[in-house]
Amino acid sequence: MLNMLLFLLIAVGGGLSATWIMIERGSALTTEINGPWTHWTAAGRLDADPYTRAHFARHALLPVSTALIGSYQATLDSEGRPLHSSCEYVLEGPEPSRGWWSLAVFDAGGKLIRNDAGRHSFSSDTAMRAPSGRVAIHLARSARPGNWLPTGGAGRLVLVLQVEDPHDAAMGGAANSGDEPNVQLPSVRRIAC
Amino acid sequence: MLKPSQPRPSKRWLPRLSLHVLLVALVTGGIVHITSTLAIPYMGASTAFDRVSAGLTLNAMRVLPPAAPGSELLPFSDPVHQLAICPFDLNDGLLTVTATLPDPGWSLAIYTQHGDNFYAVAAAGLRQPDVTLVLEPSRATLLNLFGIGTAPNFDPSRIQAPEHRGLVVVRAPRHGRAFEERTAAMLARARCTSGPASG
Repeated sequence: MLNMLLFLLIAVGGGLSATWIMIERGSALTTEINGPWTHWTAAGRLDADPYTRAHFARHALLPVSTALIGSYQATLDSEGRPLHSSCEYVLEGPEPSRGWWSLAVFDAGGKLIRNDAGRHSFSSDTAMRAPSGRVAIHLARSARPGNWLPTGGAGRLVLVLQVEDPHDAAMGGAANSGDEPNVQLPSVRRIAC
Repeated sequence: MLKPSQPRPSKRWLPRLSLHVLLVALVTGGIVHITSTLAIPYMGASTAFDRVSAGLTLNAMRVLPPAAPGSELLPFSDPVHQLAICPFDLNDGLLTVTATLPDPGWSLAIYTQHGDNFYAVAAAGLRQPDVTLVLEPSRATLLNLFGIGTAPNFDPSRIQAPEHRGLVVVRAPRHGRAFEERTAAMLARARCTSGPASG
C-alpha cells in the first residue's frame, strides 16, 4: 500500500507538477528573466521547444516569432512583489528600442481593464518622452499627468512589452552581436499602495 | 540506576519502500511529464484557432475591430494592434495570401491549427511592402529526412504548411485616430483566396 502511494505520488504527482512548472513558469532552458520581465526565447519559432509550444497553446496565444518581435511579460515589480491594482507604479527607462514598441496592461486573465479613458497601452507612437529621451509610464487607478495607464479594480496585473525587431534595436542593453536581443527594459517601481 | 533500554522509534516503514518501486516511479514520472508536455497543444479545450475561427469564413480574410474590454478574441490582445485574420483549410488545395505591410510594426504571421507559427514576416525586413504567398500542404515525409523523395522547396513565395488548417494573421499598429482610416484601408488590402496566384 505504502509503495503504491509512493509510486502514484512520484509518477503522477511529480510528473504533472514538473509539467506545470516548466510550462507555466518556464525555466532557464526556455525563458530569460531580466528584473521583473520574463521573455520566452523561442516563442513563435519553428524550432520552439515543447515547453514553449505547450505554454502558448495552453493559453491560446498567437505569438509572433521572437526573431521579429520580442515579447516581455511582467507580473512582479522590480522588488519582486506582485503587481496589483491597489498600488501605483511607474515604469521608467530609456526608449525600449529604436524600432516600434508597445506596452499594455492586462488583468491576471489577460483581459483588458475597463476604464473611462479607454486607454490600455502606449506605444512608441503615443508615449510622451522627457527631454532626455527617457520614458515614464504610470500605472494607477486615478489619473496621473503624463503617460497614465488606468488599472481600475483589476486585482493582479500583467504587463506586456512588445518590441519589433529586438535584434536590431539601437540602444544599450545586451551586445548587438549574434542573436542576443538588444532591448532596454524599464524598471517597475512601486510608488504607493 | 540504569533504566531498561527504551525501544527506539520504529523506522520499519523505511525498509518497506522498495528501491525498485522508487526507480520505476521516477521513470514513470518522467514518461508522464514528457507525454503531458507533448500532448498539451493537442488537448486544449479551446485553442486560438477555435476561438478565432468561430464566426469567420474559412479561406477568407476579415478585418477585425480593435480589441476592447469584454470583446477580446484571445488573451493579452493589445488594442494597439488591429488584425486581419484568415482561417484556412488546405484540404481543397492551395491558398494565395496577399497583404501590404507598409510601415514598421506591421507583420504577417501564419500559424497551424495548434498554434505553431511556421511563417512570419515584418515590414521592417521588407524591401517593398507588398507580400504574395502561396500556401500549400506540406509534402514532407519521413523519407525526406534521408534525402529521398520530393526536392526541397527553394521558392520563398511558396510556403508549405505543416498542417492543413490554421490562421493567417496580419497585424497593423494603430498610430492614432488620424491614421485609422489609412490603417483600415491598408488592412483591407489583405486577401486570402483558394487556388494559385493569378497573373
